[in-house]
Amino acid sequence: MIGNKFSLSIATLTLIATTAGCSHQAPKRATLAELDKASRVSATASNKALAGSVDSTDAKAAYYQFLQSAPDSDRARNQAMARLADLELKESLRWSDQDNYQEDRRYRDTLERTIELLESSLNEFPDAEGNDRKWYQLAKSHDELGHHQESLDALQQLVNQHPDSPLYAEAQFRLAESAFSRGDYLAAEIAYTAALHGSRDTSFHERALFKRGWARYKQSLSEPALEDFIAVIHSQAFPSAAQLSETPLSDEDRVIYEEYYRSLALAMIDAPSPTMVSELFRKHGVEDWYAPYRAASALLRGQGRTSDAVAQWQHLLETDPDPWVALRARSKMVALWREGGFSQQAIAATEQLYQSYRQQPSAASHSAAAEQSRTQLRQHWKSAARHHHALYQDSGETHHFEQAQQWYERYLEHFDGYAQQDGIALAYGDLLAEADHVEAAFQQYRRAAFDGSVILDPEAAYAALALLNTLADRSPERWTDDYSRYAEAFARLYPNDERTPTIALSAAQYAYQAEQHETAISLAQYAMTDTDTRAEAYSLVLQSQLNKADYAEAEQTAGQFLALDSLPETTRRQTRQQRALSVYRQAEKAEEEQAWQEAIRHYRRIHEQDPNTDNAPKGLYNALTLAAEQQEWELTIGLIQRFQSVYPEHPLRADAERQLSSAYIASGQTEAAARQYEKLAGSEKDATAQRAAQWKAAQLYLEEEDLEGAINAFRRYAHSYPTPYPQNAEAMHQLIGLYEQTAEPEKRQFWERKLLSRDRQQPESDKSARTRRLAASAALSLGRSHHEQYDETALSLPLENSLAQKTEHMQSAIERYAQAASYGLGDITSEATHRIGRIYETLARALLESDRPTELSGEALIQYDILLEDRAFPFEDKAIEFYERNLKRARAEGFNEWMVQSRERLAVLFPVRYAREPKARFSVSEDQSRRDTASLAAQERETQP
Amino acid sequence: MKVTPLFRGRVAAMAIAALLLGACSQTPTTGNLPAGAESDTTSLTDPQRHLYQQALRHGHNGDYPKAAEQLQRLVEQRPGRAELWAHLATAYYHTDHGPQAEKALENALTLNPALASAHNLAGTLALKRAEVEAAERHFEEALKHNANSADAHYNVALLYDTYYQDLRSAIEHYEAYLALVEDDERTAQWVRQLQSALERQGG
Repeated sequence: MIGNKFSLSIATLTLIATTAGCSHQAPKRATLAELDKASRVSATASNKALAGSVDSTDAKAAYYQFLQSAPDSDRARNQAMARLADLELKESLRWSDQDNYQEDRRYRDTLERTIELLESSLNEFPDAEGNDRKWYQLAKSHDELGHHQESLDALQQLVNQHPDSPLYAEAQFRLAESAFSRGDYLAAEIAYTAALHGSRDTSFHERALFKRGWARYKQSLSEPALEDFIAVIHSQAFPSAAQLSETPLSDEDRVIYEEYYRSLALAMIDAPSPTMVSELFRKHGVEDWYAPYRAASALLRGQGRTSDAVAQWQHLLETDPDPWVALRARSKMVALWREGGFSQQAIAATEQLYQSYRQQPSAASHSAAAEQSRTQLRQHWKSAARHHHALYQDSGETHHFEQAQQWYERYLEHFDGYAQQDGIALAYGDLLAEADHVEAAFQQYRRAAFDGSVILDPEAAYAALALLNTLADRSPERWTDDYSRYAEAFARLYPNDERTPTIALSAAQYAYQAEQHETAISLAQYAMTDTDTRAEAYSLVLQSQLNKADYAEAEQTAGQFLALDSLPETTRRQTRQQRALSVYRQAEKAEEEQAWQEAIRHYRRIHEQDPNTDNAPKGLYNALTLAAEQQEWELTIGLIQRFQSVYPEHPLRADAERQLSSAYIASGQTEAAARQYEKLAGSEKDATAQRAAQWKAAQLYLEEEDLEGAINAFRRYAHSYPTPYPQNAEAMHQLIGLYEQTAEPEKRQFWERKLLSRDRQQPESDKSARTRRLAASAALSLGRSHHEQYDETALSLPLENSLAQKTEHMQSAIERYAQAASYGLGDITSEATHRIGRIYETLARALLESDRPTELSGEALIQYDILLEDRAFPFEDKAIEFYERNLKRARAEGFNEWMVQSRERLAVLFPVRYAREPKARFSVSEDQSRRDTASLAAQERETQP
Repeated sequence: MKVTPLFRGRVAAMAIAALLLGACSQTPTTGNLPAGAESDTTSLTDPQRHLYQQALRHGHNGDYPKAAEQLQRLVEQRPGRAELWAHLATAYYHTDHGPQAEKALENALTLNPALASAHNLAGTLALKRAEVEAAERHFEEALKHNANSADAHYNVALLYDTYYQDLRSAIEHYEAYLALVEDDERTAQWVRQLQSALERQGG
């Protein structure tokens, strides 16, 4: 619209008036110029604050005074009135600076005085120069006072009387405006046209043109209206749509731009045919075709006329515009359909848009417009994809899926780089996931979520990880690495996300299954603080550390795990087992490195920490074994005793106790060792081990000279372990010796008889030289016992009784001696033989020395003695026989002590033969000595070389 | 003054001799051979021979102490003479000086391992000690060096007879003995009994 009433030409008009005033000369007596000058001096001298007011007041007073005296025809009078009118207008302007000035009397008075002055001047001097200006001022003053018709009349007078006036164009314009306001569009058109022809001022010309276009438009004169609007827009030289996308207009220019194009759009819409519009555009050289159609379409869209708005773009397309313009047009069409709720049309338009884009030869353009187009294309394709995606979600129908997929793929084909920022990757991932295309969905989620290890979209990342879980489950060898990497990235960036523990734990489990223990541990750390996952996480970390042989770390983890509250008992038990294993492995390592003390310490710790685990007794056993190997006997004993008390039923207890025996021995605690062996004998399951332990115990008692202990141990052995026979015989032999030491002959004889009895029962194959000797010795010993009894039995009266008794002992002794000799052992046979001889010898002596019956005397006694001798001598012969029999063995077996004794007894019993001395006599002559000497000399000669 | 080994050896020998001389009037000495004593084959001096013959006579007549005394004197003068030591040992044996006898006998056999009389005596002493096998070896050795040693034959016969109960061997040596001695009816009678016994046994 045109600006504020008369403001447009005030400066010009003022300038013209001033110039006109100056061109005319003032009268002699007091010129108008002098009046103005005097008033300015007076104002300066009076030094008033409102210099202008005082100045014009003084001038006005001076002019009014002049008018009173000036003659009617005086030309100066006309000038004075003009000058006064100027001053009054000026004053009115001053009053108009205040609020509600139109109600101010002083304001209105000045204007009314102005009108009066101007009308007087125009009446008195109708042909005077400068009247065009007075008509203009009169029009203005009326206008200010609301006298519109009077104002128009004045303007009409101006245009009628002064067609060449510089004020003509403005006056016509104001008349046109008035006509336009009244709806007299024809009058307006004519006036605007007159104004156009009367002015060369560009801005004014543009306004007039624009208004004429409107006037024509109002008269439904589309073509002329379009031409005016085209001309106006042309004159503005607006940037093209493409340029505007790069350099936007200022707000003020934008208003004008929008107004002009809106006006053009109205005309375009009302045009009888689209062809006319396009022809006019071509005719007038319109370069930016996009802007007018955009404006037309927007206008129609604003009116809710979607189809018409779309048609505008279609019209543009029909003009075969620049390809990028065409694309933008199609893009706008899509947008219009969509905004209007015409989905099918929108989709169809999108398809056309896509096809158009595909055929776009300059698709690689990087102009801003092209970019904008691309942006719109992306959005449309995205919308199309989402449209079908939503339908698929609602219906589940395959063709919707395929459509959606097609659009996502089209998008990715052309705008792959924007997939993440437009949410396409995520949305497409959703679609694929919904259709159970897991791997493809994961690929989309991954691109939406990750840039390397950087997470762009946590939701997409979570979705990707969820699918990875499925993929890893299907093909762990292929997907575990990805699962680990992305899960780690997610957990690192969102450690406090409530989903992180589950994700990390799941990925850790797959890493663990792939034996990627370091990764598994790293991931599981994120799940260790969450109450729902921490148990599994701890367990997994622990097992991973065990698998990678980080046993010290595993132990530490197990400790932390066990410190958690409300751990299920089964888990707690298992964890203790694992901790025990970790320590066991540490011990094994130390053992391999021959760090014995360290190994022992670790092995012991298992039992101290987790006594009820499988490895605890093994560890304790190993500790005590190592301690024994290191000859740390006190430690060994302590550990074994600990083992006995804590693991009394453990299979290794027997082995431990065996070592306890050794430790006792090594540490000098023989008696304790013996007791331990006895205990072992009772606890060993293996009969051989039991027997060995019992034997060892007995030996140790023997070594300690603990006769009672030895007897008990050997007795148990002898009773409990009849086989192997040789060892059993030894045990009985030991018992015989021990009872000999304790002077318990009956017990000794018991075992001697036992030994002989068992020896008889044994097959020859089970006997040995040793058993034969032991049996022979036992028999010999029994023989000695009977022999002693025999010796102790004196032949006292009545002789028959004592003799019978003695004879019985004799027979028993001989029997045992014979039994001993039957084993064929030289020394024993020799002793037995000698002792038999001795029995016979002593019996003969005993008979001879026996008590004589007291009633015998004299001849009877002599006869009795003879009788005794007769009885005794055969026994002596028998004795000699056995002694000699003994000696006969000498050649074969060597001469032993019993033969010596036999020989001695023979010298007594048979002196004629056996008491003879060997001969060692002196040589009777020197010849013998000489022979001896000669023999020596001969020998010496033989030895010389 | 520097003492030489020779001088020291001589002094030691003199000291031993002095001790022996001092002891012989009271109890028999052990009669150790002087250090470095070697077999002496040179003839006895006349006085020594005379003394030797005297000693033998005393021994033969059963005066063993006297014989021992004289022989002791002789071995002091002629320690390298084996037969002197052997006779001295015999004298000691009969005077029940067993250890001295053993020592003298050792000296004799050291000087002359082939000395039959020494072996015979050694066998006799072994038999006393009931070392039957050792006795047998010595007796055999004696007979090896002197097959006409009557005592050795007798002793072997006695050993077979009363120890080994080997009557056949015993008779053989008894008979050899009897062939060498002039008169030993007791032994001859015993041999006959043995032969009878042997016949009874079927041998």
